[in-house]
Amino acid sequence: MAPEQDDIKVAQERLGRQLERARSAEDRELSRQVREVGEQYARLLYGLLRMTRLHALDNQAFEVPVQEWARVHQKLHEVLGTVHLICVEDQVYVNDVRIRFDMGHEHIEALGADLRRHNVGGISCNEPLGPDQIRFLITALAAKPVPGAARHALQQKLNDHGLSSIELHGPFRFRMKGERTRKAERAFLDVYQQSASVVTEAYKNLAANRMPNPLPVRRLVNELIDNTRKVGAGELAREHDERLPAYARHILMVTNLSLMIGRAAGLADTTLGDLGVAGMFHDVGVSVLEDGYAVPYARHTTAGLRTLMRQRGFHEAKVRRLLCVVEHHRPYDSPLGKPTLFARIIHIADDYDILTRYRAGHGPILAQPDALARMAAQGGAAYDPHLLTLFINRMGLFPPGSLLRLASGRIVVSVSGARTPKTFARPACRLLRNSDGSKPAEATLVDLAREDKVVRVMKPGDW
Amino acid sequence: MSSSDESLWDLGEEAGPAPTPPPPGAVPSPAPVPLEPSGGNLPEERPVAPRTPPQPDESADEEVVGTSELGRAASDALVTLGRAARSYLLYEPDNEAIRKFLDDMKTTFWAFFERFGVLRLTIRPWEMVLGSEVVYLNRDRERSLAFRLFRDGVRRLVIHPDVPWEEITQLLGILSIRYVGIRQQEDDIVTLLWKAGFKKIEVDSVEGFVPEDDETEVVDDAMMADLAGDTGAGDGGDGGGDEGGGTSMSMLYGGVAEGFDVPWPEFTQRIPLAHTPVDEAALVELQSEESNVALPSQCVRLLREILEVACNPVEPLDLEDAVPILREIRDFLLSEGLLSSLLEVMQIIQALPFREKDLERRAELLEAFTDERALSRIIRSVPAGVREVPAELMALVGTIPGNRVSLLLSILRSERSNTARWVTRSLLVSVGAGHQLDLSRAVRESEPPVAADLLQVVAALDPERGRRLALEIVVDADVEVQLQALTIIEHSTYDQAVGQRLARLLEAGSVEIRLRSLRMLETHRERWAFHTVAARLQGSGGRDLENRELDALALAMVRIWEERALHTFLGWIKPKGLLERVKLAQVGLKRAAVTGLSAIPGEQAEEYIRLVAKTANEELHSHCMQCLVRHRRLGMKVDDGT
Repeated sequence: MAPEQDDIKVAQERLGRQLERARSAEDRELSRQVREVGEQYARLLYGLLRMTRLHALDNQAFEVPVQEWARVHQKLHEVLGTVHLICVEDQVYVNDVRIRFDMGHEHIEALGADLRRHNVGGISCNEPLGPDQIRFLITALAAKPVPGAARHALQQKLNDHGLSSIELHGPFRFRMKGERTRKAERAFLDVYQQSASVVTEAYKNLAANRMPNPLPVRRLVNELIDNTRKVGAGELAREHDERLPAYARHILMVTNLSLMIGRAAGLADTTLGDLGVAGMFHDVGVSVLEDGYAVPYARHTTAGLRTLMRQRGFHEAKVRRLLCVVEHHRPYDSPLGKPTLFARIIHIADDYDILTRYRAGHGPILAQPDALARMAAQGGAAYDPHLLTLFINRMGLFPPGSLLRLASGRIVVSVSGARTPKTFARPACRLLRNSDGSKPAEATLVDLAREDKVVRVMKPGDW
Repeated sequence: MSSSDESLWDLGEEAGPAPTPPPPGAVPSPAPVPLEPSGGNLPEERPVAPRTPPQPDESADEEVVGTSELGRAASDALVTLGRAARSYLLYEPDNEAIRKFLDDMKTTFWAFFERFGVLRLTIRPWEMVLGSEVVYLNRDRERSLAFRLFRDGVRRLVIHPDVPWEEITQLLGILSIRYVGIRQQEDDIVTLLWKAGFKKIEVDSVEGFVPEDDETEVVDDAMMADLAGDTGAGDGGDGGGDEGGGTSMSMLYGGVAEGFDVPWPEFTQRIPLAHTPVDEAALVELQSEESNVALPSQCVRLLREILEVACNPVEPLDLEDAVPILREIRDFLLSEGLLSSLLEVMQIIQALPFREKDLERRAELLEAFTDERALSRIIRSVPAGVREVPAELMALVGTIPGNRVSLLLSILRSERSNTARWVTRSLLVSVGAGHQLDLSRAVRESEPPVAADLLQVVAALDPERGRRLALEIVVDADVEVQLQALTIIEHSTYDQAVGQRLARLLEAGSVEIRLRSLRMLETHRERWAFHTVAARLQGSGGRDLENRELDALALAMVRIWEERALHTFLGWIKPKGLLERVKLAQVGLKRAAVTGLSAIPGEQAEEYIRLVAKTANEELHSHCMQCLVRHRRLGMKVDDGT
C-alpha cells in the first residue's frame, strides 16, 4: 500500500476508534430518545401555552396534555437529570439537542416568543414535576408579566410555590462575530474575576439542588491554563479580590495552586484542564444542605460526591473529579489506598490555603513559611512527597504573602515565591514599612536576591 | 481412495473434511459434536448485515461556492470536510465510502495549501468567509458545518499550510463527534479544540449562545424586598438576583459559613525547607497516573467509593441515587471490553453489606451487568480467533440470576458475527444442562441460522438427544440446519434410520447436502441404497446434475456394490432397445458410467471407456481420456497391492 494510502487508512481507523468511544460514551439510543422525547416535551409545552389563550386553566381540556407533559418530563429526567429548554432566536434546544420542527406547519419558534414576554429565554427543570406543579407553571407563564422585572417576579412566584427547582434563564442570543473572542493575552486578573462569577453561578445552582454544569467552568479553566503559563507563583498564590467571600477565594486559590503543582509535575494541558475543573468543584459538599442544615465537615466529601454524581453522561473527567472530591482529604498513606493524583494535588493546595488564608478578625492560622515547613514534615504521610516537593520548590522558603522583617528593619511581604532554585530563599517583596516604621510613599519592590536579608518571619499576631 | 478420486470429492471447505469410515464391524458410540470456534461448522460466514445507509442526497449536499480560484479551492476543501464529518453518521467507520471521503479531503486541502498557503476563515452562522468571499454556505441546521461551529462559539479558524495530516484528521474527529452524538456537559467544540492542542490550527472562540445583557431588568433592593414580600434583608438563598456587589455574592453562595474549613490540619513537626529536584522517573510516573490506561481502575474505584457510601447508614445516599452512574460506568467498561473490571464491579456489589431496603435494588444492579444488552456487548468484545471462551466471561455468566438460557437464546437470535455466535453457543453449553428440552423446542421454533446453532448446542449437551433431533428434522429443514444435522449424524451411531434419512437427502434441494449424504451412505456401504443412488442418476438422465455430482454418484455406486455397478454402467453404455437407446443417449449418464468404470479395475472397464470415447463429443471424449489415466493408475495400485 502506498504511504499516502497508509495515511488514509490509519486516519480512518483512528477516527473510527475515536468515534466508537465517543458513541459508546454518549449512547446513541439515549441520543435518539432525547431528540424524540425532547421534541414531545417542547411541543407539549408550546401547546399548553397556546391553550391558555382558549381555555381557562381549570378546563378539562388541559387534563390530558398536562398528564402527558408530566410523563414526558419524567422520562427525560430519568435519562438526563436536569432538563434544559432553551430558546435562542428562532430555535429551540432541549439539553443542547436542537428540536426539529416542520417550519411550514409548526411555529414552535413562537414558544420563544411566549417565554420572552417574561424576559425568559430558557427553563431548566431540576426535578420532575407533578400535574399540579405543571398547571401552576403554565398559569404563571400565561399570566401577564410584571413590568420591569418580569423574570425575577416569575422566579419568585415559582419559588414561593415550592418550585425553586425550576430555574428561569434570561433571553439568549448567539454571540456575534466582532465581539470579544477568547485570547490568551487576556489579563490574568480578568480571567480570575470571571472565574469567580462562573464559580458563583455553579455553586448557586448546586445550592438550589440543581445539576452541576461543568462546561462553563471548563472553559474558564482552559483560559486560566493559557493565561498562567508564564505567571509566577506570586500571582497564583495571591488573592486578587478580597470582596469575594472566603469560600470563593478559597476555591479559586486551591484551583490556581493545583494548576501550579500540576504544571510543575509536567501534566498535559488536557489533564490540567480536568484538574482545574476538579479544583473548582472540590469543596462543593460544604454548600450542601441536609434538612436545612449545613453538612458536617466530616461528611462534606461524600456530600460533594452525592451532588456531583447527579450529572449525567460518562466522561473520564467526571470520574476523576468525583474521586477527587471524595478523596481530597485522605492522607497519602491511607489504609484505603493511595488517593488519586488529582486528590493528592488538591489536598496539598487545599490544606495550604486553609492554614494560610486570612480569616476576618483572626488573620491566618499559620504564617506561610511555618505552614509550609509543617506540611513538609508530612511528606510521605499526609502528602505525596514528590508533589509536595514540587509545591515547595515553587513557593520557596518565603511563600507569597509571607510577612518578613528584614535586617534593615524594613517590613516586607513576599510577592514572588521561588523564581529560580538559586533564589529559593530570596523572593521579590513589596515594601510595607520602612525601617522607621513609616509607610512607603509609593509602591516599592524589594528584591531579596539583590539586597537585604530576612531576619524574622512575622507570625499572625505580630502584625 | 486415490488422490485423483479425492479430487472428485473436493466439495470445498464448506462441507468440512471427508468423514473417516468406521472399521468394519465397529459400532462407534455417539460422540459429542465439537463446537468449533469461529463458526467452523457453518457452511459460510454469515455476513454481518451492513448498515443500510440512507443514500446521501447529493442534491441536498453543499455546493462548491466562491467566485475566485482561491475561493473555489477553499470551498472544495470545506465541502469535503463537511462530507467527511457527516459520513460517520451514514456509514460504519470501516466503510470504503469513508475512505474515499478522507481521500478527497486530503486532496482538496493539500491542493489549496500548495497553491494558496494559509486558510483563514471567519465563521458566520451559515457561512464561512475567506477574506470577503463566501467559501462555504449551508443553511441546513442539521448539516451545516458553519452553523455547528458558530453555535459552539468558534468565530475564526486558521489552518496553516504545513499542518500535519494528523491535526486535520483530529479536527475532523472533533467535528464528527459533534455530529454523531448529543453534547455532554463536559465538552463542546471549543473545549475539544482546546484539548487537541493544535500546533498548526488556530481557533478563536466565544461563548456559543450567551445570555443577553440584562439591561431591561434592573432589580434594586427595594424591588427585591417587594418581590420577596419582605421588609428586611434577603434570605441569602437562591433568588436569581443579578445585581453585583458583595451582598449578592454572599447571597449567591447560599450562606456558606466562614468556618467551612474547620477543623484544620494540626501538624506540630517542622522540617527545614530547601529546593529539591524531583527525579524525572517520578515525574513520568505521576504523569502516567492520569493516562487512559488508568481510567478503568479509576471507574471501579469510584464505584466502590459510591457503593460504600450507599451502605453507610449515616449517609443519606441511597443505592437508587447511584444507579445512573453505575450504568454509565458499566456501559463504558462494556464498550471497552473490560471484562475483568466488570467482574470486579460485580464482586464489589455482591460483597458490600447493603441495607435491607436496598437488597432488591442490588439484585437489579447485578442484573444490569448481565442483562441482554450488557452481555451482548461483552460477547461481541471477544476477539475473533480466540480458541477458548475467556474464563471471566464464564464466571460472569455463572452469576446471572434467573433464566440464563433464555437470555443467551435471545442474544443468539440477534447476533450475526461468527465469533459472537460461537461464544454464545459455548456459553449455552456451559449453562444448558437440564434445559435440553427447552433448547430442542427452540431448535424447531427458530430461524435456520439460529436453529443450526441450537442443534449444535443440544448435541454438545446430550449427544443422543442431539442425534435424535437431527434425524427428526434433517430431511425437511433449511440447508444450514441440514448441514449441522448431518455433522451430528456423521459423528453418531449409524443405523437404518440414519441410512433412510440419508437416502431421502439424495433428493434434497442443495447439492452440498446431497453430496454429503451420498458420502455417508457410501462410507457405510449400504447395498440397499444402491438402487436409490442409481435411480438418482437414471431418473434425471444426468441432465439436472452437475458433473461433480454425476461423478460422485457413479463412484458411490462402485463403492457400495462394484459388481452391480459394472452391470449398470454397461447398460448405460450399450442400451438395449430403441427406447432405451434414445433415453440413454444422454451424455450425462454416459459420463457417469465412464467415471464409475474408472474406479473398477480390470480390462473390461477400460474397454468400455474406450467404447464410449469413440462416439463421444469433445467434452466427453476428454473425460474418457482422463478416466483412462485414472484407471491405469488404479490398475497399477491393484497390481502392487495399494
